[in-house]
Amino acid sequence: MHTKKVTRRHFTRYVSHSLIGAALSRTFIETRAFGAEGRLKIMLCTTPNGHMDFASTKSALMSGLSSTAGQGQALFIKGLMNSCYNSDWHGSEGGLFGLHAVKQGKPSFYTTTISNTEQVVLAVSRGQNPAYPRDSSGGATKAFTTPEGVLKRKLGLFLGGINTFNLAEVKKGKQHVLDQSLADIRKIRQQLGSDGRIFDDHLYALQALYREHVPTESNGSEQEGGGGATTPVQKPKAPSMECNTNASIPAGSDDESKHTAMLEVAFHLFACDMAQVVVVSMLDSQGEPYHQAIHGDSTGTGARFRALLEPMQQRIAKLADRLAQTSGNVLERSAVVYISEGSAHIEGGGRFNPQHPHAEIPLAVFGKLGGVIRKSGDLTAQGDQRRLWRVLADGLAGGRADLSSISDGSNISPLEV
Amino acid sequence: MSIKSLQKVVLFTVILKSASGCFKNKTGADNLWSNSNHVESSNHMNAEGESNANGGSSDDPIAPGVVESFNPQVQNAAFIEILKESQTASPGCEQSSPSAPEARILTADEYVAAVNFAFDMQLDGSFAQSYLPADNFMQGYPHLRQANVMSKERLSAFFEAAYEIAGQMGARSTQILNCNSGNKSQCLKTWLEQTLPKLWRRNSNTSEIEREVEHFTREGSGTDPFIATITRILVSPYFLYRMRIGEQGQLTSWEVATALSDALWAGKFDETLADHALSNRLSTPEQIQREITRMMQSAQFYAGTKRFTQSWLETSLLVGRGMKPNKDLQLEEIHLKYLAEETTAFLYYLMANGQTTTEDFFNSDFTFTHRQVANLYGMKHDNASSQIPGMPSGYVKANFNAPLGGLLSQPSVALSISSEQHTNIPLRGKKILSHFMCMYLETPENLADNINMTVFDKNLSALDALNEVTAKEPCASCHRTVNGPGAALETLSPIGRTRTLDDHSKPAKSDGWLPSILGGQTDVHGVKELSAALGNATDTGVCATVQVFRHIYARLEKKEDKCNIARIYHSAHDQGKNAFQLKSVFSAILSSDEFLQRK
Repeated sequence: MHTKKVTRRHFTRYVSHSLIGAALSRTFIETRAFGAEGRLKIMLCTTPNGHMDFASTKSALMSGLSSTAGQGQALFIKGLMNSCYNSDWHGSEGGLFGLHAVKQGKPSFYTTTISNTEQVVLAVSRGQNPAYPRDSSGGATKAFTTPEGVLKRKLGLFLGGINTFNLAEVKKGKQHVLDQSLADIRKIRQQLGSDGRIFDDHLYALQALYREHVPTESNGSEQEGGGGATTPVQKPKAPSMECNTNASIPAGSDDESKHTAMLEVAFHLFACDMAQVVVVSMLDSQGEPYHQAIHGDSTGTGARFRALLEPMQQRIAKLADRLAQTSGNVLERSAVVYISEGSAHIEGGGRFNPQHPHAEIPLAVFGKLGGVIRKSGDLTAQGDQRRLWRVLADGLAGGRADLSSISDGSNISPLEV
Repeated sequence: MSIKSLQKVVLFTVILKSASGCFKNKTGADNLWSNSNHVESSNHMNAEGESNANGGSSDDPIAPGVVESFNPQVQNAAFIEILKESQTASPGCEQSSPSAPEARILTADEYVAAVNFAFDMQLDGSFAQSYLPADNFMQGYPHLRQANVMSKERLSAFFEAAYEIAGQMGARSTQILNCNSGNKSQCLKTWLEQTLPKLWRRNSNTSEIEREVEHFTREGSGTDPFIATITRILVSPYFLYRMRIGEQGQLTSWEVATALSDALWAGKFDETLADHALSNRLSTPEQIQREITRMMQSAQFYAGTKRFTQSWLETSLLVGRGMKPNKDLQLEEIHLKYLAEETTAFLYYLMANGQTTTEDFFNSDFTFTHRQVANLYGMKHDNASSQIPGMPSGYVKANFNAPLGGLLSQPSVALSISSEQHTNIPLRGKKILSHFMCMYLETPENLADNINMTVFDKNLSALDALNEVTAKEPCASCHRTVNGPGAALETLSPIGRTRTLDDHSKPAKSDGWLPSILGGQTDVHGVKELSAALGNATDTGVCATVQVFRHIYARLEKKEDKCNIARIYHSAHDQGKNAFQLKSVFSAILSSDEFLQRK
């Protein structure tokens, strides 16, 4: 495997203006020296079609955790099922991160808690859209399918994010920017008649963006997660010393190489504190050869599936381990979640079930999310993955997250983690 | 912080800030519409810098837009109504009625095409991939309004794309703002007068342009205000939405031109089309028909044909589809790319030669594919590439080998409706019925498990084994329908080659049937007969009309559309042969009163 150097030119060109990036990075590093911790972050890593069983998955993940810090922050959850299962998990990817127990694409649990600009989707994908993450309307999300795209587009974009200084500019009086849009929208809406409701969605989207970026008048500060019902003080961005926007990204065109590259990008997005939610999806449940590896198994051992799966699991664990070893332990304020829409294929007697068993999904959480997650080791739970989403959403919001616009969510009991 | 960066974040914040206080909630959105004083007089904030002290923060909870799911039952019911109306016109459908005004979000490809034309830029697919929101596909179509709802994520991406384009345009500000026809504001006005109609697809009125110039002048008339102006016009609803309003009861020439552009050229424009729009020369059916003819004879029509065909048959999914080594034939990525355009090239060839009756389309003894694919499949072909303008190089007319024949013999069709290693009889049937007969069957939730738990008799042919296990309820009611078309294709391998042995290594049978959504069926034997049966079925012609309807109207058909679609179906018949002409459906819709007249 060879590596492709991301040049400084790429960075300076696409990353929201190099001088600012450099200045802010310097500031962040210095801030960090005085104890800044960076923001709460979650990473969702998926592999398709489930796993062998709890023990095999734990073993594979542990083999990727070489550090004591990493091992001490690993929580392996047993017993949860996919809320979207309903006998067959194919087509349930769009519901996996949602709060409804349905297969159809539904808003991912973090969409109302975390600003859109703080979400990055990295996908090893062959289809029209990667299926797992969904936007706040349940629609397809924008995803980067090449690491180069992320490097060009995202690394540093967040450095130029909206801050309080800009809010001061707002208050100087420049509202004229949108005046014509509002007038035009009013006019168009009237002309469209009943179809004018399409612009209600437009205005709602504008307002939702506003709420993410502009602090409330009362507290004058952004919320930890950019939304939610509570109003904790926003922690500043604080890159770790391992942040490297000029990193070497592994190259290669096969799925495994792309997965490695995307995880490398994800590492730097976290290490640089450039995103609060990163999704790394590895194909989907119908992607080949992973799909055929389960349904085509005639040996009763699932050896082919195991050979495909375990390297993916190890790569994810290694990423978590690296985050645990960063200066200041980025993993302490993060949660790296490993999950699949499918369940355990090894059943009683040790025989591989090539169908769609639903005993339990693989689920592991690395990191403490700033103290939200206190347990490590093995945890047996009941219910489905939405219990964990509830915990993570609340953790990011710094209290009870308001999920009412994307789901009721109130009847989901948080997992005791 | 650089000026550009500062401006970007300030602009973004200001836009959001301004919007947030201007409406309360969905049901209370009249706050915006009724408070004209606010809109008209809010060029500057008050002394506290706040247009609305609430800033949106005290608003009631409101719900975001929701993407609709495709409902097979609803669409089947709609199609039954449309099909019945097409077979027997009812008295209530004698008079055409105008359509309602409509709007939808433009697709990534349309966005790129519009910017390239208006700004003379060369953005490509990588720009869309990096900056623009993802299109939400429904039944293969990227632009249906039910599936594409404005969300904060989508809008945010539009903002970011606008900033990026504006930044690139900033490099041309010196040239644009020093035009030798006056000061910078005058130069900007001149430039906007030329550019804005192409971008917004409407004749901008004086006040709109003056509004932009005033803003530009007030901000200092330099590069940064120019960049801000570009950003403003790119996040305007006039750009982000495709609208068919027909303010005076009839679509304007710009609205017609945009519809023609999207339907026939995949969103691309040329100066002639823009000139017709600017000069209001697309206001009569004759003018529109002439322009349709011109556009269909253009090389750009290939792009429109491709957009339609790949949506209809979902063949674009072949690109990037991983293929495991196949014992039958090794398909490389490049072959799949060529195959993804096979039906496009075939239909384009037929339309260029005026051969688009259903018989031409379904019963052809040739396909139109890339030379490499023809060689791979052992098809005899012309050596020379097609000389039809717009046809990609390397595509040739290739003859099917006996006993193949008809549209379904195209390798790309077999590939796109099959599993990778198996023919999958029900899947083939389901896709044929949905693509060509507009008949949609829901996949049972537990289908895959049931299949895996079902013991198929390997001593029987794959078809007989399937029929055996699906003969009883609860399977029978669906499989009586869905097995038929797939059964007829059993002599075609998953990659579209003829075979003698099936997936059970038994002699391949191909006794199938073609059902109608209205009941009844036609027995067929083999791919050629199935193709012919499709060509003869009224369902097929009406369904093709529905597919073009979706392509042009950018929404799913409803029961209320039955008169409109039935009328289009009939008007698309060749008067001499009384044969349905697929090509004619495009012009029949685009020049119909229902489409052009608005309530």
